[in-house]
Amino acid sequence: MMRAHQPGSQPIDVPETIPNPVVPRTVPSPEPRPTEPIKVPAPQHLLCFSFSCLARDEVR
Amino acid sequence: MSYAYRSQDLFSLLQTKAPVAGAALAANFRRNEYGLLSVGLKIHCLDNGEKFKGLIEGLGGASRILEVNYFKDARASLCLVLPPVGSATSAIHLIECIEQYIGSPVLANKQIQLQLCSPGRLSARASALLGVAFYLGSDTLRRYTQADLRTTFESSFNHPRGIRLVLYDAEGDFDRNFTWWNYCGAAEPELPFVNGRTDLLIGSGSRLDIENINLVATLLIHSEYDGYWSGLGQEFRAEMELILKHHILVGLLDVPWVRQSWAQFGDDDRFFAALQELVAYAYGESTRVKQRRLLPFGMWRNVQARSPNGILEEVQRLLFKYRKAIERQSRLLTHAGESP
Repeated sequence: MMRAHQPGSQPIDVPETIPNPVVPRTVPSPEPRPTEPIKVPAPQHLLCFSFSCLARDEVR
Repeated sequence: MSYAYRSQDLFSLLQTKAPVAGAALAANFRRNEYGLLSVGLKIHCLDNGEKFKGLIEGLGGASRILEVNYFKDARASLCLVLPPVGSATSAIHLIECIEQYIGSPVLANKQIQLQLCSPGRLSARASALLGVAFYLGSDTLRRYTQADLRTTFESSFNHPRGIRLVLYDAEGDFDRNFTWWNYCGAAEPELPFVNGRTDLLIGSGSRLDIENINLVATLLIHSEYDGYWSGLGQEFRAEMELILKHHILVGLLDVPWVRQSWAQFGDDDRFFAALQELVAYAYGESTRVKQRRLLPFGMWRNVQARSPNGILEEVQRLLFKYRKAIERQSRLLTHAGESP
């Protein structure tokens, strides 16, 4: 904040930065994005069961 | 622009914490977009720079990475020079990867002052247009003190740069290996400059700032070096000057926005007075725009206005218009098979 003052007038506080009112606001991200997850391939030897599969007597 | 490490080393390091984005950057960092200029970046760190310690150590240590570079913001603890990249998009991705690596924001961070570097030296008047367009087109209106613009090269014996927003290079290393669209629309593999840059001290910057400066610098450089966008660049200059003329600000272009070799005593102050005038005008316009929005429909005419739309909105529209013109014309070229 800067203080602008002329003799005979009330001091006013002038912010160092203000948003440009004609630029649409984008949602700022105050923190950087989280670290990218390391993708680990799913184990291939495990069989996946589901109720729908069981109902149809299927295994996939 | 000195950086004593290989760009691939930086990208490899960044990939340890940002594997996907880092790999994409490493593969595409020289890729050109729409014939726009390549982008260089310098990060001036105003605090103790502790967050960058791991990155600097990974690149070879402060003595190798930082101390080769004498140039920095006079208040900065360190200035990290990044390798140039082929587009504003890659520059933004590079910053985002660094943010992930150091775990702290670089954009919109008051402790980090960004310097954006464009290849080719602009004339004094074009440098003024670059500075004005950046300021009025930014998503943040800033007040400056002269301390904000002081660098270690302010009074350098060989390369004095004064106290300015726009700076020329100091004849350091220059990477020419970026695509240049020549006047005929053919993509040349090298920039037409052996050396020379025009830099802008953004301060605390945003994605929009990087995109805007890249756009405006391209239009102005192409207009002065006979590039493919020369015609659009000339039109942009004329329209920008007309806007400033309507707002009785065209005189701001006559002051030395960049320090030339024939600089005179007092030029720093003349420039700073012009910058303050621009800042005061923009702050006033900002207040007027907000007041107008608060009034019921139809009553806004009661607010005294120097222009129906205001200079901030006019500059936004101008930048939008030229960005779209470049994108549209590039697509036409690509479809016609003339462009790379």
